[in-house]
Amino acid sequence: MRKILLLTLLATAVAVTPALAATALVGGTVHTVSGQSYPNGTVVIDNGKIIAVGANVSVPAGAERIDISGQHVYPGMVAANSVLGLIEIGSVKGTNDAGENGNLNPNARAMVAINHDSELIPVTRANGVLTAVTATNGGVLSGSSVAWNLHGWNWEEMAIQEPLAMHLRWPSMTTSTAWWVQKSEEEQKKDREKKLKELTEAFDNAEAYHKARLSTKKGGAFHPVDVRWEAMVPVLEKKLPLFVHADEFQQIEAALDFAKEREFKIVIIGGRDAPRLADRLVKQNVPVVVDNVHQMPRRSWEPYDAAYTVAARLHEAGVKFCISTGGSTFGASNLRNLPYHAAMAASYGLPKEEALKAVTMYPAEIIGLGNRLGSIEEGKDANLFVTDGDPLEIMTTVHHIWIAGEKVDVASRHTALYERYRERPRRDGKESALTPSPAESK
Amino acid sequence: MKRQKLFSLATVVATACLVPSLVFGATAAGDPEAWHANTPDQPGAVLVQNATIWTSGPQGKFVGDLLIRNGKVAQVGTDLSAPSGAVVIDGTGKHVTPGLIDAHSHTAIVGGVNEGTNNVTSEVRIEDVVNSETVNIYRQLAGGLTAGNLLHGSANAIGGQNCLIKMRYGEDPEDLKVEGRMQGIKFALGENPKRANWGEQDDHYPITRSGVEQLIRERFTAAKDYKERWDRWNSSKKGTAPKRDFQLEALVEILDGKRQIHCHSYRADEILMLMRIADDMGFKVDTFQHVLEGYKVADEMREHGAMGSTFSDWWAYKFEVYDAIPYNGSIMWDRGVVTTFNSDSSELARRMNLEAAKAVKYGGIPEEEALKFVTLNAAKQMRVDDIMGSLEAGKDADFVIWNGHPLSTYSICEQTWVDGRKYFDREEDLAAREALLKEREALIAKIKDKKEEGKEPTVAGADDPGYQMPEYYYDSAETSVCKCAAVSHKEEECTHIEHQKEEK
Amino acid sequence: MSRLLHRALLCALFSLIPTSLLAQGPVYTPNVHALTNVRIVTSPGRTIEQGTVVVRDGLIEAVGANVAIPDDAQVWELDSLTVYAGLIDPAMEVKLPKADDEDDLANLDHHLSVVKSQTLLATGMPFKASDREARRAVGITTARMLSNQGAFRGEAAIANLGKGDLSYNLIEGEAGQVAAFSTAKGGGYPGSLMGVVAVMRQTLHDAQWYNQAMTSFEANPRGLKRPEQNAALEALRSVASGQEELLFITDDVLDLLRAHELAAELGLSLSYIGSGEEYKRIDEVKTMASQLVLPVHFPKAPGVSGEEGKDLSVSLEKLRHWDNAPKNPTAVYDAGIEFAFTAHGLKDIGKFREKVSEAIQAGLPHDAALASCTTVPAKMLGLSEQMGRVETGMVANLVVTDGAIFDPDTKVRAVWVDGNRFEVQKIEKPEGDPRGTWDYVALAGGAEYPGTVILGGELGALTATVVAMDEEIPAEATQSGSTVSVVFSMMGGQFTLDLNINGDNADGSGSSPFGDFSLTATRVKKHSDSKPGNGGLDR
Repeated sequence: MRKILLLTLLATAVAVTPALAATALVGGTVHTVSGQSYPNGTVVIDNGKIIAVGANVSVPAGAERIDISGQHVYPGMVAANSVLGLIEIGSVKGTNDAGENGNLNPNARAMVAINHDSELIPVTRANGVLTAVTATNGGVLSGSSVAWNLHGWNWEEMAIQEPLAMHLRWPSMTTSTAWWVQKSEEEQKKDREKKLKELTEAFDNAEAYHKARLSTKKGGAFHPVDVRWEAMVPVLEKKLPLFVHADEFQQIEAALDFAKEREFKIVIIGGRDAPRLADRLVKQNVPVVVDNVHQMPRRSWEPYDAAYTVAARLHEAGVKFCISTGGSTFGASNLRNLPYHAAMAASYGLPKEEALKAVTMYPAEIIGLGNRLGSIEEGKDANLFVTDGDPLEIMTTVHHIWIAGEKVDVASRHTALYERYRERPRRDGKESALTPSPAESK
Repeated sequence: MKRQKLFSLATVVATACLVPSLVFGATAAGDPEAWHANTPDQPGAVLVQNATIWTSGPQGKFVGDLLIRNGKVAQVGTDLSAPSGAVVIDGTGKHVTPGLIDAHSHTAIVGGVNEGTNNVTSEVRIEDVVNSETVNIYRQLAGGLTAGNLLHGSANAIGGQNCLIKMRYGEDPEDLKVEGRMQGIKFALGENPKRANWGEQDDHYPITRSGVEQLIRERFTAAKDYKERWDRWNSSKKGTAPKRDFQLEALVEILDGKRQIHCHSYRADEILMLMRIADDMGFKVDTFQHVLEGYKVADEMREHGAMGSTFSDWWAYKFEVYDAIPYNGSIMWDRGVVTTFNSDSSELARRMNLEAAKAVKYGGIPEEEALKFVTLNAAKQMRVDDIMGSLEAGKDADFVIWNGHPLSTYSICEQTWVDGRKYFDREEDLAAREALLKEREALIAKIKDKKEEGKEPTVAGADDPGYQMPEYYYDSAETSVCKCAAVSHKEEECTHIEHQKEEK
Repeated sequence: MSRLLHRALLCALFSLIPTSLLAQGPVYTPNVHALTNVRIVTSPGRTIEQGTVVVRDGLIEAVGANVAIPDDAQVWELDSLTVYAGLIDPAMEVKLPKADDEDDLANLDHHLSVVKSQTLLATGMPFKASDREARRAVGITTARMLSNQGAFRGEAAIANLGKGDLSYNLIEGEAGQVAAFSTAKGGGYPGSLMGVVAVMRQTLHDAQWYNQAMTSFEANPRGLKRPEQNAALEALRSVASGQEELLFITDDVLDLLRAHELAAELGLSLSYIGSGEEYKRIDEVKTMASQLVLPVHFPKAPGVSGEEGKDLSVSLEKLRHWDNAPKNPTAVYDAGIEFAFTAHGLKDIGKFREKVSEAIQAGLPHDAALASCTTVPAKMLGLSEQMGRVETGMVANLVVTDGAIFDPDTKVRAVWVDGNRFEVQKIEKPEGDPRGTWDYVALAGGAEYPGTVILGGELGALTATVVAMDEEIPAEATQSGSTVSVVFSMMGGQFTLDLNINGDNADGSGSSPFGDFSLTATRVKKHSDSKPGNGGLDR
């Protein structure tokens, strides 16, 4: 029993895909992201992997040639923080598995609750977001996340890495008197103290547990397995990174102190005030997942574009960063807008190529999958999409998708309803001026 | 219109003031406080030259000039000459659009967006609670927004009266309002008025869509009776006049075609339902708001004369929007419904041009038509298209200068003009930042000095003002960020989620 | 023992004065005083450097440099002290004991709980000795009192803050209707600010209609159906018809603008209690108000630590308001608006003079500040011929200080209200927790009289009950430093117990209608606020 538990915790689930014939995308512009772009380049994929990329690549015999002249091919975007798959309809409790009760659920696993047939998945990937990190979002230690591809027959097949990281939601360090806050400042302070105490005690107790269990294993006194602390062991052994959700200065500062003191490898998710702590982030080598660019300034006195410039400021300061969206309960349904968050960062100071990297290569690297995802390179997973333009532009359309080498339909609940109602007989006798959906026009 | 503001104490206490030039009479740029911002000048003439001008009007889009005189568009054309003394702006490489208009906003409302205690509240008026002081007005100017339709929330089937404002940051509430135009009212159908997401509602009526329908019919029936009582009295003038009832008067105005309805709605059934009540009672529904299944009944909407103001791509946050699709706006537009995209969010209202771009993406609406989703069509929906919404001679000089294609995600708003006054200028904003930071630092230093002298007690909690706070407070920067969801979360929905929390 | 006998016995025991004296009826003490060798500020800007004020039966009989001291006067040598007219607070909010509750509506009340215009504050308000004492301590001798409940709050009352009950102190029982933008409590209608405005609009229209209907009926009832009676609308008749001013309490500057718009729409006449933010929109305010009541609740400085992370929550707006708020009165003054100061909204009334002094430091002329506490509020309240100045014929409401009244170092030595002298004790911060059950023994005339005082409530807001003669008597308790004063009524008179607390022991003195006495007390039980099931955790 114990063995199984450990295995499931530490095992890397490998997507089992049937063998596919090689495919070559030819004639389009290949945006490798990691290196140069190839106008009229070629990408060859086989058995789920990219096997060749470049300007003068010969297409293997037997490979299917797909002409994408005038179009562009990009590596699939990676959503570094989401609740996709856990929530179907935000307000309907029965469809929401994002947040468990209680502050300490390190053993909660996001992967096992992913509804692979969620209508949100095709909608999301149709915009080029092909891989997501899904994490539960309740309490303080909310559990482990999974990185998964947005296509497959069940979560087991879709998972790329699980557990990916342990997620820690740093308690709010400030109090608020805003109208919607039910609790008094005193109560908020008490809440914070309680949570911080629980947090440090949890790590202390997990350490104690780990030590005792090691002794048991060596034949010492018997200490039974505790599923919660057991889930913490890989974190304590530095095998599983700690993703700390923290937006506000004092939260980030406290998380950095915590990481330093306990020598954890952490990633900050949120990071609204991260540029103010850039020096420390660089020094401790802590990357930041800038979660949501489309946000109000945190404070009334900050410049109107304060949230738009977070990524640019981190970039300038040399902090490793990427951009994400969709970590909130209501965010899953609009995870498809991830590229536009990056574009907003670009229009307010982040170099364009950095903005593209911030939703492809950088998130892949930050979540530890830089060897497999985030760029079009030989040997990497064949997660690609083809567009008629810059994917960070709203007006651009995604026409083709490959996930793990498999061609995936760009159709979704949305294109289906669109096609159905566009065809409703008109009562004004006029002609429709609408264009077909990308699902129809392939 | 307010004069140039120079806090009169400046002379009295200049010596006591650390940075007098900053604290008093500062420029509007980036100032988080409206009262502290000056009214920008209105030059006699402004000429924007050689820009790509998107008129949203009959002149279409072309590279040329825009001439403003005394706050109005004087001429749009090519090779216009600058009148003497005109402010001339080189628009080479730039794009100019009409000021963006948000057809559904809850920005700049103080003391509650919903009067949620009754199921009918047509007597309440947003115009009574316009919050001129919120910095969100400035933030929206910085995204090219020049007007917003401030609506009551959706907690009740018949909600409160709305108020159209222009983003004249710094002016007082009265001066923000667009006056003398037909007024409107908010209605709401579906999950919100039936309080589907508010926890147990044992004592609430209605909790079904059927109940909502009957409630609306009953009130309009009562309004007709009320009108008849008055008509009879007016013709006889016998005895004491009937007592005025402001709730029913608003409904009588609807029946008389003197008040617009903006109806929060999602599903096709309820959209159809209200139009049929309207047909029976003899009134029109001017706009359906959100109207995420408008695409299913677009023909019926056009035939009724109803317009549609929808979200570009929001969906799945509750059951009644599970069939919401980003093609909704396009299908409504295609079938002849005057269509807009709205924000319903102080955050989203800062980038409505990018919402318009989604009409191009989903359904292939021509770019100029898509831009009208956030300009001319919004003006039509509020029946102000004779004075705003497009760049045509005689209309208000509300316009935006972009550094690139207005539907491009890489473009940003450089200048926003309202009534021929420049309310936002990115360069000025950037230039003012350091001074604002210094002012803040200087005041913090002043507190520290006084504290060291033992003269200044400070409050422990940073938010304690040292006196009793009012029950409500401005929708400050903090309150506009919804805690229940992060990005682009709809404010109205937020309200009901909060209520849900309270119920629990 | 019969109750009456018991009571008589207690009177006898308690008194220093022989029992027989009680039978002779109340004590008569002549009430003629001469405050002499004193600096007299007769009104703002007018000073008699050394003179005499003669007070007779509650009125000022004479004032001047060379006024003869009457033979029958008690003489108060006040060398080096200054006498001012008593300060007048035009906006003292009184907490009514009853909360908003729709279940409590009487038949003739309005159906909405926020419409309480029928409230006649003078007939139902608590007139707490501790409230009066706290105001006298800063020199306030008269106040216009306002209810704290409702959107329409009913009639204000004007009273002196002297001794005795309200009937003795009341100056005007119908001192004007009061309104504020207050929502209903507990989820009722109206629950939003716009709802409150709508309720006000509808209610004022209803009152206008009611007024017309009633006026017609009153003029010629024959043939007219008697209009339905409503106490709330009845009370608003003259306000709604624009004949009487409505006093509006504002919480921020937009409130003032909003109230003004409503008044303009309905043809009302308004006066305002300001928010302290008038400087923000002074150009607008100037056109709306020729008079204002201004608070001095200038905010404390936002807490700054010097640590970047913590200071981020300090906004520029808050910093500016902290910096600008004390300048607000000057801004209003410069705008040519006549204003009176109020202690309204101050958490600690004891800071009133200090706050006015801050306004002076921020630029307000001293005499304008003094006028704003004396002659201007007197005029606003229609009392110019009775108070606000130290002149012959005025009510003897006086403040005796050892320096300029708004100098932060100046102490108020004594306050006179209606010719009665009150020594001012500085109210200090409470020291220690005096709560619990105290058994005391009063020593009077060589005899001991035991009793019990139970102190509870919160620190800073103590509650008290006195047990004497097997009877529980509700009392008021205030703490200053380590001294607790307990005031209660018994046998038609006021008793005071002043206990100087040292641990669980106390000594002190007391007063009664029959004379003074000394006290010792022991705490026999500590106050316990631990809740059931929480006992073990208390340390």
